[in-house]
Amino acid sequence: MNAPASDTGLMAQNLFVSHGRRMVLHGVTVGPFGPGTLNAVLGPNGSGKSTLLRAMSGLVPLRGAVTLDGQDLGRLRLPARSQRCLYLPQSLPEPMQITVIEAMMAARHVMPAPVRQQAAPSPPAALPDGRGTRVSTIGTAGSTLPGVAADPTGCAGQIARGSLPNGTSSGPEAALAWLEHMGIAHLAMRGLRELSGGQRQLVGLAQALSRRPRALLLDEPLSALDPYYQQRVMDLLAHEARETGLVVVLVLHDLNMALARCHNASVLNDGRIEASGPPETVLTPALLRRVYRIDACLDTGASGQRFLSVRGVAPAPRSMA
Amino acid sequence: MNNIGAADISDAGATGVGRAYATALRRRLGVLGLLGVAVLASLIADIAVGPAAISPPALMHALFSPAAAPPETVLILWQIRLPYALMAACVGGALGLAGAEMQTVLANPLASPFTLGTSAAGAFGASLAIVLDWHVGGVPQTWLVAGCAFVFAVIGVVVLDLLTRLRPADTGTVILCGVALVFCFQALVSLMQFVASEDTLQDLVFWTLGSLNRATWPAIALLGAALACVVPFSLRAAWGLTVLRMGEERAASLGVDVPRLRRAALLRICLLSALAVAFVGIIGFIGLVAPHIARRLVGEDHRFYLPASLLGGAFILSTAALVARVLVPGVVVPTGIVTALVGIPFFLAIILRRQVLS
Repeated sequence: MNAPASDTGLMAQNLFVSHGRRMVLHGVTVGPFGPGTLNAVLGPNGSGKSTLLRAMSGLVPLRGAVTLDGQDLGRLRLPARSQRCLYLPQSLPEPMQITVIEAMMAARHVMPAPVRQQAAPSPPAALPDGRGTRVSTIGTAGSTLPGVAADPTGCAGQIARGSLPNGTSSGPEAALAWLEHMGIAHLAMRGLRELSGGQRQLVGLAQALSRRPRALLLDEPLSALDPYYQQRVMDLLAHEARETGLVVVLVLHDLNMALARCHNASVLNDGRIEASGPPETVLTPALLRRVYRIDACLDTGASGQRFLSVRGVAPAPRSMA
Repeated sequence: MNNIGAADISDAGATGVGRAYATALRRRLGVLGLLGVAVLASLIADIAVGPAAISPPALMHALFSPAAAPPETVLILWQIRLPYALMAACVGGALGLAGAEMQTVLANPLASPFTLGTSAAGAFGASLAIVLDWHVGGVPQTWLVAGCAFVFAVIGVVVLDLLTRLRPADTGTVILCGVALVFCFQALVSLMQFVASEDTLQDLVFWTLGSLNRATWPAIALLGAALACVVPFSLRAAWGLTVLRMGEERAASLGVDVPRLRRAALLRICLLSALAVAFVGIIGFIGLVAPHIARRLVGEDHRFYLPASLLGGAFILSTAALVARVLVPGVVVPTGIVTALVGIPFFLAIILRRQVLS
């Protein structure tokens, strides 16, 4: 029997998804992911992470329920659903002959998002370990994130200076404002086919953010980015979450990124949830050995930050024979 | 054209990007204007050139004062040259637009009504109506043939769409399925030719060669009306098609109703390519070449790309029609032969270039 839907945030309950005869998700329940939080979906290759995000966004048929702020998203048609809960696929935008600013305009034009309904953005839920506070102080001098600068790229200050257009404007100036927000305004008049994979990934992310959804589902958004832009994108997501109450769910392979930047981690293995909760309680050596087959442990850095040290591949279990 | 965004540029104009974008917009609009002028020029040349040496002033006189002009000049202008020239422009425009939309919705730069069997399917439908001598009370034969071509062109597109959806289709799969359809429908057209009587055989050969000689005013009116109906819907779908070109999953995730967009585009493609083939037979490669030229000229923002492909197609076929008339003095070579001779090297160039790039 399903748990009652949460009134706030994003929640998936008892999801079953199959590809042909093969069951990919076996009754997966995740969330509720509260407004203003960053939530990692972790797991080895082929564990069903992308399928989970695609199912939550309505792109694949499923059995189960996905709710956002208490509303059953399954009752909405796909265009209306994407307006509230937007999925960004892992694949990059095709390298077509179109400028970046036009790609932005097109993404905003296909379905102008309405101005957010909520009167004021909800702050992130204050977590017992002060994570909510951590996110809310991003960009200020005193970060509460142990060992990691709150705004390592100085991006948040830049974000705060510019006012972003609301969801209804789809003109070139609105597109440009979002490119500036992402720090890629210099690419505005470049053709998509001239860009590197990482740059196209940033354009795709800018397209998704500019739609101002209530929840954003990102499939490996950092996979093609260099370390600078990885940090910068995480800053941006944290900023958006804090300022607008955006719910961010992102598939990550970088466990330390999840540990350092996310409020929750849900670990999938073979289509089932292995563990869910704050990353430092979820990512235990036993789980990493069982799910990822690596020998790793949680360490504490000089400035108090927690990080994973990977020693190598875990030895194969002894044969029972 | 829907919301070019020119009004918004002034606000963004303070920045270098705003100015650069405004310049790019102006350049593209300029290219569209030039293409329009080129179509007009080729249309005028098409009307002015012919075996009967009629001076331009005489043509102008027959055009604007037909009652006062010599009857033979009026006959040549109004019954031969004008229908021929206008049909070339209309068919070229229809095939150019259909090719551009087809390349986007099938995510394949080698897609066109000719290469993927739509034209062959339409030709089979038309030849079926001719050979079986179908009659529906009160409906002229021209419209019945066009209707039958349309129905089979729709079947061709639907079968292609289903085949490419049965298995995850890459570029090669779509093309191979299209080639299979071309062979299949060409075999059926040959079968129709085999069973046809001598009287109808000549009509059937017309479909396989593709010729503008039988252009009539009702046919031009129908194709022109179809274009006038389709173009606003195509332009309205321009943003959605641009996003679809970025990837189907991305388009769906951004809220584009992809199945609906695809269905509507395929319906437009069917309508245009089927009517074109119904009236002039199989004209190859316009639907393939025009979108590639348009892409080079204005990029793939479909607000510009679709009209550029339409105008490009109209210009190419108009010029080909002119070449077909002056190539051999005293003989009008079927236009389909001219477009194929020009199109095949272009087709090979695209394939070789893609292989080099990959």
